[in-house]
Amino acid sequence: MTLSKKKTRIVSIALIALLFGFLAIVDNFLGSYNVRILSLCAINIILAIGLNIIYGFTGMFSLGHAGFMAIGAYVATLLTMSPATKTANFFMVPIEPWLLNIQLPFPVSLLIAGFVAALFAVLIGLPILKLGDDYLGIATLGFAEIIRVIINNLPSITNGSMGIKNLPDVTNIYIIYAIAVLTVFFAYRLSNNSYGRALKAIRENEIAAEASGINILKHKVLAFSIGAFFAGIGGALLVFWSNTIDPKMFTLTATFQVLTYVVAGGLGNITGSVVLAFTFTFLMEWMRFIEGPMNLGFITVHGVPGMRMLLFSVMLLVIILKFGKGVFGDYEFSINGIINFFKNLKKKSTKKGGSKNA
Amino acid sequence: MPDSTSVLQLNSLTIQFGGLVAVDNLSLNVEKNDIFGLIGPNGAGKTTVFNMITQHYTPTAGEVVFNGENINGTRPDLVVKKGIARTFQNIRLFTKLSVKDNVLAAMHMDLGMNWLPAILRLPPYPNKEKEMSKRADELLEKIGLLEFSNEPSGSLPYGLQRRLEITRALATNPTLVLLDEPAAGMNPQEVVELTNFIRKMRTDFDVTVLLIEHHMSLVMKLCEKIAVLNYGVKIAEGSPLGGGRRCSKLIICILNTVEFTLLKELVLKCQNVKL
Repeated sequence: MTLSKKKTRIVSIALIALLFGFLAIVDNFLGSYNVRILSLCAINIILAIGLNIIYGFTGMFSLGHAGFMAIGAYVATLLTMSPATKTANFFMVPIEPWLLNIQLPFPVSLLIAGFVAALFAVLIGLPILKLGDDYLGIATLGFAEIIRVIINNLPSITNGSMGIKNLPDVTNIYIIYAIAVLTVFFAYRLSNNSYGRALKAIRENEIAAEASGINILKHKVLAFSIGAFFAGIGGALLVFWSNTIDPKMFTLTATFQVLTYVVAGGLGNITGSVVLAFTFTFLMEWMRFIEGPMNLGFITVHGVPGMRMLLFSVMLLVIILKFGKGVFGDYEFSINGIINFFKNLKKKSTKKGGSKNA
Repeated sequence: MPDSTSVLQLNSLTIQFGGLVAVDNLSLNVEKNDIFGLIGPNGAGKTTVFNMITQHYTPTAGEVVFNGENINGTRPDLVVKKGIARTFQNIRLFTKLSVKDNVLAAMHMDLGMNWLPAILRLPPYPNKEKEMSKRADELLEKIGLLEFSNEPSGSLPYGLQRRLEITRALATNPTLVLLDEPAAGMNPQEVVELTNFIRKMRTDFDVTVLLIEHHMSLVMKLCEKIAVLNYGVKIAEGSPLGGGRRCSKLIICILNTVEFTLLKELVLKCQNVKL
């Protein structure tokens, strides 16, 4: 049995309301540490969805995510900061005068950040998206590094390697989650759409897709820039979340972290990206206790810094070996799917009574 | 001058890869509702001809005229839009997508909507989606694949995968279908089925068929016209059921290529022809 469209919509809205109710509880009762971690989870979800659209949906192996994050982060920062904080930050090399007095409301600058990242994606996508698999990976990796090096060497715009501190406190957990929900919603719509099908067709077989009348370059650039848009937004949220911006935040490690969520969750699988981004972010924090000194009764272990990374990589290995197609494989979360699951459970437990409903 | 019933005309088509002339000065005329066979030994350049017709390769010289229009230099996806659909020698399906999604993906080019309103499902997208879904179901039912519509296409048996690939080609509403070795890897029973299928497809969908094939039984039963390619040169052209020109050369060529057992059949058919 499946619910009607209307009912499904109502249940979805109820679930989202529930989520925000939960966030309100966390926000009011559980302390700022938990709030920050939960916010970071949502930011990583946005980043993961962005990469999933590029790599999972369209099959373009991109290692340039950190580059787009950096672009979004710097654009949003420079557009949102007040002139006073800008002058205070740029004490070595003064900021470009035309940048000094720009100050836009946060939502506007966040959108612009996303669009600038997408624009860069179009510009570099047009020449390099013709490349296949690994070559595209190398080209995009190069792009991300170029962006980082440029940022490091433009002190009058980005304050170079010193980064920028005291970013205005404009985000909160509700805003971040609202954006995350919108991102997931958009990805879901894209996945079940004629355009989504075209992207997946390109992933499955580019030559056949072209022979089916799909304009390869147009669709690749489209997916690449949509992914970059979300990377830009996610990058901007990340720096506002941490209140500082620093070129070192956007090294290859940042890309790989996001890539981990996408691959471990299952390529092209939205549920996988969301759940894995959430759990991995959470576990990374929670596992900190491993690095502290522990008393195991017979022996006392001194903390080993970096121990959680070790455990984390073991976990990753297990996931990759155990689930070749990611934890979720082809399974996508849906309200009807959950209902059917419980229905089947019920049927199994009452099997003795015979079949009531055909 | 292109004939009024001519669907596809190749005018002295030539392509060179470096020093190698893969197809040399090839001229063909495929008329409306023909089933035209292109045969020849491996490496003769048959698939290269297909790739030039679909503009995956740009011919070095000569022109491809489709429905009276020179389509040289058209982007491959736009060639499909003009009405030339093709299948591949080694099946190329969107294996992880469902059977129906394979067909729907081929209908994407007719959506005619910008990406943002389409993704946000603004009208008229919901109606268009419904329309496409209905068309796909009808098409799958006609072909006999409807019961598999939700299966991943990669899980279908080989014969049905071939059939799905042709279905996907038909989903683009073509006037000319290029089939690259549709019977490759099929057993005799499946070949007979395929022969009937292609014949039925021509009448049901009102298409012209140009096919490459090594199964001579299929070619002989199905094709009204045959051209033989060897080392990129057309060495013979004619009909398999008598009246064919230069039949002797045809036989010589086929000697080099295909199953010897079927040669007898061919010789019998050519007996009426003056050699």
